[in-house]
Amino acid sequence: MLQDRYRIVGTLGSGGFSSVYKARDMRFPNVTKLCAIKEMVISTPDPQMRELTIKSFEREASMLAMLDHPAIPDVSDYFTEEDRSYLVLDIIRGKDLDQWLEESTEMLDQTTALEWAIQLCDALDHLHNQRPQPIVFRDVKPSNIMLDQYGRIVLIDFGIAKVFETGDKGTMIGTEGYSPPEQYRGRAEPAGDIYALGATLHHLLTKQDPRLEPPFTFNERPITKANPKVSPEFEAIIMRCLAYDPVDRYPNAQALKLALEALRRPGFAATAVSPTFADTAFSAVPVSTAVTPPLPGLPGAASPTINQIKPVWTFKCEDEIRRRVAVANGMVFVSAYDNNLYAISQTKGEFVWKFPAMDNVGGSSPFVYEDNVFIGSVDRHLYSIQTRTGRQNWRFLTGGPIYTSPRIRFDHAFFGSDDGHFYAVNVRTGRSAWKARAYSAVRSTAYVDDERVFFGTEGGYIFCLELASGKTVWQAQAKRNVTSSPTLANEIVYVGSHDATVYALDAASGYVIWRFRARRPIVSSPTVYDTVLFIGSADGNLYALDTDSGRQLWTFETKGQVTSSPAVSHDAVYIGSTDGTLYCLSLRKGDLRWRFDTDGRFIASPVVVDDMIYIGSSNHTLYALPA
Amino acid sequence: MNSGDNARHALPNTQPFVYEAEEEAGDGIGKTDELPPIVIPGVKGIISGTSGSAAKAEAIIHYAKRCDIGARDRNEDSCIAFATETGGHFTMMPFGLYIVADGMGGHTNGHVASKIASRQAANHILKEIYLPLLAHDTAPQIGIRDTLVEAVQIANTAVYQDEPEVDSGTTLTVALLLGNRLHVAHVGDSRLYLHTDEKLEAITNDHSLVQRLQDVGQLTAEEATVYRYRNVLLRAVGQGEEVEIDTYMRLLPKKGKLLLCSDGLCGFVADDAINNILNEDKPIQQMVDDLYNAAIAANSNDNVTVILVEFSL
Repeated sequence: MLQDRYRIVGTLGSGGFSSVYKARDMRFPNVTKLCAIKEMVISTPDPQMRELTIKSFEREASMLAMLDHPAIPDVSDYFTEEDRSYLVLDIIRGKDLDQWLEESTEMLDQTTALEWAIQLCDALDHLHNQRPQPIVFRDVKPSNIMLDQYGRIVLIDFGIAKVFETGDKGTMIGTEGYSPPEQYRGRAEPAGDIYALGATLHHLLTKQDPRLEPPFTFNERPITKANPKVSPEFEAIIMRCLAYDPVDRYPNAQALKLALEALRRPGFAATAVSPTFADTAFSAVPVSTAVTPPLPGLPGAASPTINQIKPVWTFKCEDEIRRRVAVANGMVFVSAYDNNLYAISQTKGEFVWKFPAMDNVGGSSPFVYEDNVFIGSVDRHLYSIQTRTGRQNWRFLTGGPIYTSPRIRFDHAFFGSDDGHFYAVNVRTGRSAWKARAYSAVRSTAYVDDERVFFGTEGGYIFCLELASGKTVWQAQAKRNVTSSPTLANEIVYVGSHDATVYALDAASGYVIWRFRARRPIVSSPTVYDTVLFIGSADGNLYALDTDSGRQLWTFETKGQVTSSPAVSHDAVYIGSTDGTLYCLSLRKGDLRWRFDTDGRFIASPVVVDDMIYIGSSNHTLYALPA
Repeated sequence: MNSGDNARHALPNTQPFVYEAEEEAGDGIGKTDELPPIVIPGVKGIISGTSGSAAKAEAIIHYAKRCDIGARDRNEDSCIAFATETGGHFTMMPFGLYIVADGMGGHTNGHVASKIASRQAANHILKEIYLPLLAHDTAPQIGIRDTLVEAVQIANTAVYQDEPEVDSGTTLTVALLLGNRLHVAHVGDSRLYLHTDEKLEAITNDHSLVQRLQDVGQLTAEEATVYRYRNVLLRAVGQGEEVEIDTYMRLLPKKGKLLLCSDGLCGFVADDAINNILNEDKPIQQMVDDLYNAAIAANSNDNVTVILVEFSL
């Protein structure tokens, strides 16, 4: 019993410094008249501070008692007993919007949200227009907004409790997430309520709880992305409420209400909102975060551009092309499954010569060094061929088919063979400098720098050998085959594996720095550009990963497998898929720029040279396309 | 990818790679008995084959630390520093582990939280990375980033479960120096700096309200030092079942310094002033004391923890 009048019959809620009780007013002994009593603990032990706190409380309570608005519960009494102050209010039957958020399964529709927002503006406008001082609610958030039994909005639990809080070191303050930045500096002004209303609407419409996000990050979580039924105009209004700087928000609740009401009018068109609203709303947002990452390009989305890309020329081989071509000395060198290495003129796509091996060369990608082109073959040889004439300089025999491409450094060709060995061969003489055991077939093309050679094996190892001697520096182990060819950037070796993992290994030690898991095996070889790594997977995706952490930046989904390796040129990344399409995507976000559809499958990787893309297909055709 | 695997026996990690003399030369031209060396420009002759890192000059890493109660009644900071020195023909890969934790104050047992977090994290990293390095002399095939994240997550669980009724928490900044690379896991507002060529660079970003308010232009750096809620963290270890962790990775320069500190230093002493101290030619313990004294001179009212690592890789 409080004041010999209010009998506590239950608890409605409690927070850090205050509780709300359900009480019966015994002044009405014959009927059950219920009220809500907010109890606030005066925590300061200092008697002077205590006196000040009580005075401040009483001043605010008197002001609240003067209010008369349907969306604000009437204050009928207030008093202080010992170290607690009490506020007696009308009890509101219904549920608060926090409960509503918990219980609702659907996204909030715009019509209802507008209705609530307008009612809230009306209540805030009433508070802010109090004289001599505007009343600042200070704590607009879903749990402080009731939906009463008639479906009307009522603001409960005034931020008066803030008078009783002390800045507790190390813990997070009050209603983190809804409060405006300036409130953290102790400024409580009407513009803060407008921000908190915007934050509340953002939460209601997106169901993303701002208390679980870093503060002031609403602009990084666009409403229309979470709830596409919300109109861009409504979003723009809410974003203007959420501007960091109070002067960029609506000047008052009335102005906000007018903007909201304009949206509600039947036949509302985009022009109903002054475009300056939208402009202002976003001007307060840093450019870097205002641009929202669009959804990964859907193949259908750009259908108008399908096949608008026309090949500059095509060249037909006698069998499939599955490997990257080499472009050098004015020619394109193509290895096909028909045993031939073709030389084709770069500008016109005309046949120059072809070199027949004893068996298929289609598993190896040609490599040009000075005036010679090098190619491995299933006939177990590595061939050195003159680029001008197509005549053989020498051939080097290994113990098994060669499915890798040679890499040449310091006049030596470095390559692996299915015989489970890795070779260094002098390109002038065709003689071996060294041969190292790899214990299983090598189908991964090596990355060679000035001192080391890196490659994967079908046995699931990644090797680092000394370039000079072929001695091992380190070996690392994946869970399955490493057919993907490694690349090196910033002293990190990146490679994919059939175990569906991308590995980032320290080049000096072989330590795994990070791993990234795709859904299906990775045969594709990584391409690094700046701080982004691009790699495809049999799960159909092209992945863009942060090189330092392996964090996924974006993905692009194709309808087939991505076994080919991405090519990067200017601000675009090119990728082929077994769905028969070559995709051109924006480098930063993976947006589809254009696509080129064929009746074959792209297993080969594209090559970009002089603003032209060269890529072979399983339909035997080599395409030259404008980049 | 762990020991005990059958594949491991077929390819022992601890043996040098089997080097085979050339048996079958290609059927190309000019077959001779002598193998031509691969001549690398700028290098005399052939690089001699070595196993492990025996041929390299040994890296030098040393550190100094101070974890001081400062102007408080209780020291709620904790730190751990761990470095190895080996000698002999086979040097070991440079290894150093440095951790700073700053417990959240008041009634919430911050000193316990920072102790638990720093030691649990160190325990996991030593077990998963350092001990395999001693035992196998080679790379453990676990992800370093994953291990660091696990370590902080374990620390988080330990603090969270220690006294569930107490709302305790701590910052946690973990710096692992491995080979010529720096790996970092970080939660809170303790900091890690890299100092090289007389320049100081903050590697970590603070998860604090003051930082966030500065990011959105609502507070200047000067205002931040006197801001009322400057101790409010947006993320801390031990506040929930899981914690979001930032990671960083850097290839280190040949020479430089790492500075880990609690906000008892960096909340009061500006980066420029810290840089000036680190630019001086003094023993690192003296620099650590100078940093501490600078914090006290700047009226630091907090515990002050400083770990300074000097490396030459």
